[in-house]
Amino acid sequence: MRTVFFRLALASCLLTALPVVISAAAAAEPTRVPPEARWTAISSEVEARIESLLETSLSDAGKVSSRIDELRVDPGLSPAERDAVLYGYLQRLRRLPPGTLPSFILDRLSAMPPLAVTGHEEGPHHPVPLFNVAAAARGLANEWDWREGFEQVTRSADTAALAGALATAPADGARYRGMVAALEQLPRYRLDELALQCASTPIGCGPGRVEIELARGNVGWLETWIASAQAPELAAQLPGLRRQLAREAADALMLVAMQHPDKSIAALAMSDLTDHLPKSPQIRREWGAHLVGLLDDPALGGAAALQLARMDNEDWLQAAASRPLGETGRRRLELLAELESALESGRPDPEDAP
Amino acid sequence: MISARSVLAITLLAAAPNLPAQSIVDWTEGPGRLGLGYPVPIPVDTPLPFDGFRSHAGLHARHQDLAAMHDFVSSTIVGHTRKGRDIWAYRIGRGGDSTFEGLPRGALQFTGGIHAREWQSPEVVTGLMELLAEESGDRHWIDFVLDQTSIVLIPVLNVDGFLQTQRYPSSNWLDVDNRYPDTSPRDGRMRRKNLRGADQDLTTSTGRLAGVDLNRNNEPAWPGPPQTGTAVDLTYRGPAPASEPETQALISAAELAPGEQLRFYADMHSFSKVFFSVLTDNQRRNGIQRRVLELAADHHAALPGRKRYIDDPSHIDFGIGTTSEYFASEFHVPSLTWEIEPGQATGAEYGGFGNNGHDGFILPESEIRRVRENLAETMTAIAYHMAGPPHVVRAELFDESGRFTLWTARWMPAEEGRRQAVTRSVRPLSAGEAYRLRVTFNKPMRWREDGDVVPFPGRAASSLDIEAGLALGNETLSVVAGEAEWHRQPSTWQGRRPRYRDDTVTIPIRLEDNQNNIALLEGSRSRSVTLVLAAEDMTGHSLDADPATPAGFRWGAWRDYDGELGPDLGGRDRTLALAATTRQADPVIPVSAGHSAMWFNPDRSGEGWVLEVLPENRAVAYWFTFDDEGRPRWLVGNGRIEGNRVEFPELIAASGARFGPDFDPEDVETATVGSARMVFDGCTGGWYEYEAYGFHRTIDFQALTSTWNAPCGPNVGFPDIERAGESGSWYDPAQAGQGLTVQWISPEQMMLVWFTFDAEGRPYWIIGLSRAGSTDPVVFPELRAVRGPVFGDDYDPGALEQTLWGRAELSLDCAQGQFEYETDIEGFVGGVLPLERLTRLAGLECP
Repeated sequence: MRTVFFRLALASCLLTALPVVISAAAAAEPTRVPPEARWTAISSEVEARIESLLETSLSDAGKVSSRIDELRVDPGLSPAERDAVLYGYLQRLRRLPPGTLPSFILDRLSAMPPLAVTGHEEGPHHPVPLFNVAAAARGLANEWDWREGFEQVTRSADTAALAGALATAPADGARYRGMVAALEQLPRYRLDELALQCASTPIGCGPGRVEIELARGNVGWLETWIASAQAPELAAQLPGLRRQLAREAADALMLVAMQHPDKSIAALAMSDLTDHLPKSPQIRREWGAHLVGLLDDPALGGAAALQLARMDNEDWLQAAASRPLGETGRRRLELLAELESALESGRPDPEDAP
Repeated sequence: MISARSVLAITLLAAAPNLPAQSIVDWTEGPGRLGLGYPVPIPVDTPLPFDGFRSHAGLHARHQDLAAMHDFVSSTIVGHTRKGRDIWAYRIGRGGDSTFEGLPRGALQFTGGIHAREWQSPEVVTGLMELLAEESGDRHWIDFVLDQTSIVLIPVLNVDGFLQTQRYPSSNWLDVDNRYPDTSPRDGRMRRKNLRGADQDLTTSTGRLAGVDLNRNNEPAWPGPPQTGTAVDLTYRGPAPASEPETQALISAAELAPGEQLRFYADMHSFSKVFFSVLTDNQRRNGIQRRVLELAADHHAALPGRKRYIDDPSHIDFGIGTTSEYFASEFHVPSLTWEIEPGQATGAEYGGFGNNGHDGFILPESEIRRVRENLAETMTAIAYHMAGPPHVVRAELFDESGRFTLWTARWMPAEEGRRQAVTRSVRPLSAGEAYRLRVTFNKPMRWREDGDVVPFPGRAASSLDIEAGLALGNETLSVVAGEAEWHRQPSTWQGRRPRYRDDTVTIPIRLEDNQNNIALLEGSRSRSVTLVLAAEDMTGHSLDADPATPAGFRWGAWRDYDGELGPDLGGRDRTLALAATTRQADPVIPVSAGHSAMWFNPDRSGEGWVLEVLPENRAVAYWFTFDDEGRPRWLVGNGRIEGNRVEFPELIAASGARFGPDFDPEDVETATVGSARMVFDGCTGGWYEYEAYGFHRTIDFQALTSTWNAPCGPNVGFPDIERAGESGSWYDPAQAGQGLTVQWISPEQMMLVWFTFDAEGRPYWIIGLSRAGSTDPVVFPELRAVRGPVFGDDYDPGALEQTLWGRAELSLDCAQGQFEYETDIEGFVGGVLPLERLTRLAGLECP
C-alpha cells in the first residue's frame, strides 16, 4: 500500500513538475541562429528522432505528447535540432491519413513557440522561426481537414449527410474547400442525387449548391444564381464557369454576369468574353462596337478601354470613329494607345544578347 | 567558422544521389509538394477591384483611368525597367506644392511591387489610389488628405519581374536555389528580383536565378550583408548602389513629392505583418515614426480583419540596402518596409496547408479585397496624421441660444508664412451667464459610425475628450463646460479654406460667478481672460498650441508644432483672449428693420454695402466695390438673419449682359465667388467678414445712412408713413440681372444705387442722391460712377475717381415704377426702365 502510495505521489509530483519544466523551456528566449543553421540542423540524429516520433504516432499516439515534451528539453539536441525534428515530423505526417495525430496535439504544436529563431530576410533583427513548427502544425490540420472533406464527398454514399455537411461547413474552411474540390470528380448520377437533396432540404446545400450545379452543368440554374449572387462568390466561380462548361454555355452565362449590379463582376465577365472571342471578324467587330459604347460609362468605361486595348484595332476603330462619344469616352479612347503600349513587351535588354 | 557537422551536411547535400532533379513545379490547390489548400490565384485583365488579383495590364489600366477621370490624379513616367518598360508614378492631391495657405504641402510616398512575387503589394497601393479617388468629395478625411498632402504612388516598380510572375502564375523552379534548394522556389511565380541577366522564358535555365533584388540595391547601407554579394542569391544587391534602372526610377519619383516636402515613406511588401521601420540617429524622427506606426497598427487591428501589425525597428546604423533605409537617411522621414499579411503562420492563417513557407507570398483570392481595402484605410490614416497637427482656425462665443454673436476670433494668413488672429467683440463675457463656445479646427476632428461620434478605429474613448476653459494669467478660472457637440455638416462658407464635417464643435460653457472667479476678475486690471483649448485629432495629434506659427515638417521633426507637451507633441492653445466682467451685460440688439441702410468703412471710402432687411428673417446685401483693376464690381448675397448677424452662404457675381437696348437677360452669367456674414454690435456698426477672390478678411463698418422710418433696436413701432415703404430693390423683369436699390433716407431725400453692366458686359454700378424735396418724380440730378481702388488688401481710397455719369428721374408707387435716365458717357445711352418691386423691406408697409 505504501509502495503504491509512493508511486502515486511520485507520479503526481512528476506530473506537476513536468509542465513547469516545459513551460520554462517554452518561456525561455529562443536561441538566435544564422539562417544557415537550417542546413546543419538536419542531421542523421534528427532523422532518427523523426522516425521514432512517427513510430510512436502509429503505435501509440497517446504517447506523442509526452515524447514532444521530452524532445523540447532534450539536452542531446540543439534548440534548432529540436525544432527540426518537430518540423520534419509534421511534414512526414502529411503523407499519413488524416487523424493520425490527435487534434489536441496538433493544436498544441500550432501554438508552440520556436526554440530557434533566425533573422527575417527583410529585417534581420526580427526573429522568425528557423523551422516554423507552429505554421506547419496549423497547415497540417488544415490539410487533413481538406482531405477529410474530399474523402467525405468521394466516399460517402449518404447523400443527405453530404448535403448537410456542404450546407454547414464554413465556406472559408479547409474541409469545405476539400469537399468542393471533390465535387468535380463525382459521377453524374451522384451529382444529380445531391442536387435533388439540396433542392428538397430546407437548409439546401448552402454555397455548395452552386458547386454542384456547376459540376452538373446546369446552365439554367446557374443563370438564375448569377443574377442574384454576391460579388465575392461570383468572382470565385467565374473561372469555374469557363473551365467546366461548354464554350457556348459559358459565353451565355458571362453575358448574364455582365448585367450584374456589381460592376467588378461585369468587368470580369467582359475580360473573360474578350479572352474567348471567336475568330469571326463580324463577331469581333460587334463586340468592339459594344465596348466602344461602354466607354462613357463612369464605372465600366475603364474596363471597356482595357478590353479594346487587348483587341486588334481593326475590331473597333470603325465603331470608335462613327459613334459619338462624350468627354469621358473621348478621354478613355485617348488612353488606348498607352494601354496598348503597356500590353506590349518591353524593349530588348542589351544583356540578353548572346 | 563552419562546424564539422555543417561541412558534413553540405557535403551530403552536394553529393546526395537522391536529391530531386531541378524541375518546374506547380502550386496546386490540393495536396502536393506545393499544395496551397486554396485556389491558386490567376490574375485577370480587369481594372476594377474584385475578390482576386488583377493582372499588370488591369492594374495599369485602372491607374490610367483614375488619372484620366480625376484632375487631382496626375501620372508620370519616372523611368524604365531593365527590359525597357515604363515605370509609372502617380501624384494625388489637389493643387500644387503649397496648401491653400501657401504653406508647403506635406507629401507621402508609397511604393509597391518591388519584389515581383508579392502580389498583395501592387493591389494595396492601388487600393489607396482607389480610395482617395473614389471617395473624394466626402467633405471629411479623404478631402482633407487631398487638400493638405501629396501622395506619390508607384504601384509597380519591378514591372519586368511582376510580369514574369504573372506570366507563370502557378509555376516555378524547385531545387535550384543556392541556399535552400528544396524549399525555396525560384523564378516564375516566385520571382523576386528584377530581370537583369534573365530571360522571360521560365522553361529555359537562362537567368532563372539572375536578377537584382531592388530592396538591396540602395544607399546608404549597400553593399549590405555578405550573401547579397552572390549574383544567384535571392537577395543579390547588384554591382553598385542604384545600379538598376528601377532603383533610379524610384529615386526620381521622390521629386514628384517634391523630396524636401516628404514626410513619410513606405515600401509595401509581403509577408509577416510587420513594420520594419528604420531607426536613425535622429531621435525626434524616430519618435514620430514610432507614434505614427503605433497609430497604424492600432487602427488596422480595429478593422474587420482584426490583423495586428507590429513595429520592429531596425538597429541604428545597420542596414541591408533597402529603399526604406534610403528614404530614412536621404529625406529624414519616417520610413519602413511594410510587410503585408499573412503573419508567420503563412497560408495556414487562411486555412491553407502551410507546407512550404513561401505560400505566404500567395494570398488567397478570397482575402485580397479585405486586405486591399483595410490597408488603404490605414494608409489614409497615416496620411491624415502626417498632414499635420490640428490647430484652432476660429473660435466664437454666442449667447445661450446660439443666435447672438458676442465675440469672434479667427486666424488668418499673414506675412512670412505666419498667421495673425483677428478678433471682434460685441460685449464682454459675463460671469454666471451661459454661453455657447464654437471652435473650428483646420481638419476633421472626429470619426462617426452610424451617424454617431465614436473614437477613431483603434483609439480609446478618452481620445474624444475636449477641454474648454478660461484662465486669468496663470490662474485657472472655474468654468462649467457641457457636452461637446460636433457639427455633422461642414460649414457652407465658400472660399479657399476647405471645410469638413466634424471640424467644428460647440460646447456650452459658463464662467462660474463664485467668489474665487469674482475675486480674480475684480483684482485684474485688464479683465481679459484667456481661452484654454485642448483636443486631439482623430489620430492623436494634440493641438498646435500657437497657430500664429504654422506647423511644418523638416529634417525629421515637426517645426513650430508648439505646446507644453513637448517637441512634436503640441499642447493647449492659450492664444485667444476676450474681455470678461462680473456684471450682468446689456442685451444684444438683434438685426431688425433699422439695419436696412448703407454701411461703409471710413478707411475704405468708395466701397460699401446696402443691406435690405426683409421679412421672415431674410436679408439681401449688395456689396459695391471694385475688381483687381479698379473697375466697379458688385456682389450680391441673400442672407438669413440670426440674432445680431446675417449669414450670406453665397456671394454672387454677375456679368455678361450689355448695357442699353442690347441688354439680354439670357446673357447674364452668375458665379458664386465666396461667402460672407455681417455682424452688428449695435445699431450703428459692426463688421463684415467675407471670403472671396482669395481673400478672407474682416472689415469693420459703420452706418452711412439710415432708412427713413425704420428705427433700430427692440420694441420700436413703425409709424405708417406712405413713402417709406418704397425703399427696397426694383427691377425691370425684361432686363433681369440689373436693378436699383433705393432708400428713403429722410422724408425728402432718396439714395439710389444702380447695379448694372457696362457695354462690355462687365459689372458696373452707379450711385445717386436725389434732389431734396423732389418726391414725384424723384429727381437725381447727378448720377455718379466710380472707379480706382482695387479689391482686397491693397484698397486705396485715395485712388477713387468719380465721374458724372448722368441724371435720372424715378417714379414709384408701391408695386410699380419707372426709371428714366440719360447720360453722355461713351458706351452708355439713355433710356427708360419700367420697374417692378424686387424686395420689400421688413417693417415698412406700403399701402
